[in-house]
Amino acid sequence: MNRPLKNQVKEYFGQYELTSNQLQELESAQENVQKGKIARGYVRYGSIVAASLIIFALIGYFWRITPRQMNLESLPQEIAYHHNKKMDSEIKTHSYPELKTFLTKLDFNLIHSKRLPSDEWELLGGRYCSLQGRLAAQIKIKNKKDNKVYTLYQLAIPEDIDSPIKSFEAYSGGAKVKIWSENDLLLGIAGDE
Amino acid sequence: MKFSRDDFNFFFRYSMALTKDESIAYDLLQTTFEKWLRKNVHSKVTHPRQYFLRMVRNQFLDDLKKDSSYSFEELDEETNIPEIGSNPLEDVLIAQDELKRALRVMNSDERELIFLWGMEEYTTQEIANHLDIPKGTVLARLFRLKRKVQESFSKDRKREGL
Repeated sequence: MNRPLKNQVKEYFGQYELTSNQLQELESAQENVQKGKIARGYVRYGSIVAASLIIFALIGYFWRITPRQMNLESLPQEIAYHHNKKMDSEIKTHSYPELKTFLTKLDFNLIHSKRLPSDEWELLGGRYCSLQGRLAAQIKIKNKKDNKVYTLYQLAIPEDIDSPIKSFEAYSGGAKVKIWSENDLLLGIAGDE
Repeated sequence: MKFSRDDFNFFFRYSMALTKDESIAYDLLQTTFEKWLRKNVHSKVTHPRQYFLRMVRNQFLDDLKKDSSYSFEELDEETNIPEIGSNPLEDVLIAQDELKRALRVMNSDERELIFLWGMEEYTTQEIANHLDIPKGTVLARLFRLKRKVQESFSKDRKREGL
């Protein structure tokens, strides 16, 4: 039967279809590539995250091991801040030599300051602390006269400070802070006003 | 973007128009699809269906070039065609058997042309875009195709004494 050519063309080519096996083959290839892309996406994403974490860790590490430049003007504020936190001593002792044996991470030797003689000051204990990005010792001492507890800080004088440190006093956060240097150490004491 | 079963069947029919053989058509489709997936083409194109169709065509032509036994026909693009406003194939009436016989004597270019026009209902301009040739050349080819189809079924009718 004669019909328009277009209709006959549709009928002729319309009879050709892929078998279900062939369709499955093509579809599974398509699926596999999609899954592979997702997996590759996860791997790529994971790599970026891992790389970022490593970079942040390295930045953190170098930031931590690279001390900030010492700023003596802000030191009293920092000491007052720590003092006001009233943190308990991790090591309770009345002996400096014994305290030294516990605070082994310090890169300096704790000293018994001449300004704080034993007949006037009693050692109560100590713990680690951080001042100006440097590891320091935070020591609790009691003044035997007024029975007030003070916080003493000791840290090594940074290399970037050439000139000798002159003693000075400052007030911050309701605390009186005295700073001085002794035996290559920087010392600061804070007490409530 | 994923191709549907209808898309795959459409590509297969197009491959059939080019190759005339079901297993060769499937091979052509598979080879093209592997390239499509490997090169991640779908993420780079705006009209995936049309683009894939062109890939099938290019693959087919590449395969032909590798086949030394195949000789490309010199097309007479200068054929004088009458001034025609619409597609010359539109008014052709034909029986299914006559079409099958006509398709047997057509070359791949002609089968592709009749497929795009009849099956996919491409306009002359769309065919020109797909084949990357001027619209006038498409019209000339359609005119020659009409003549070929008519000659084919007039021979059939003479043979059958109609």
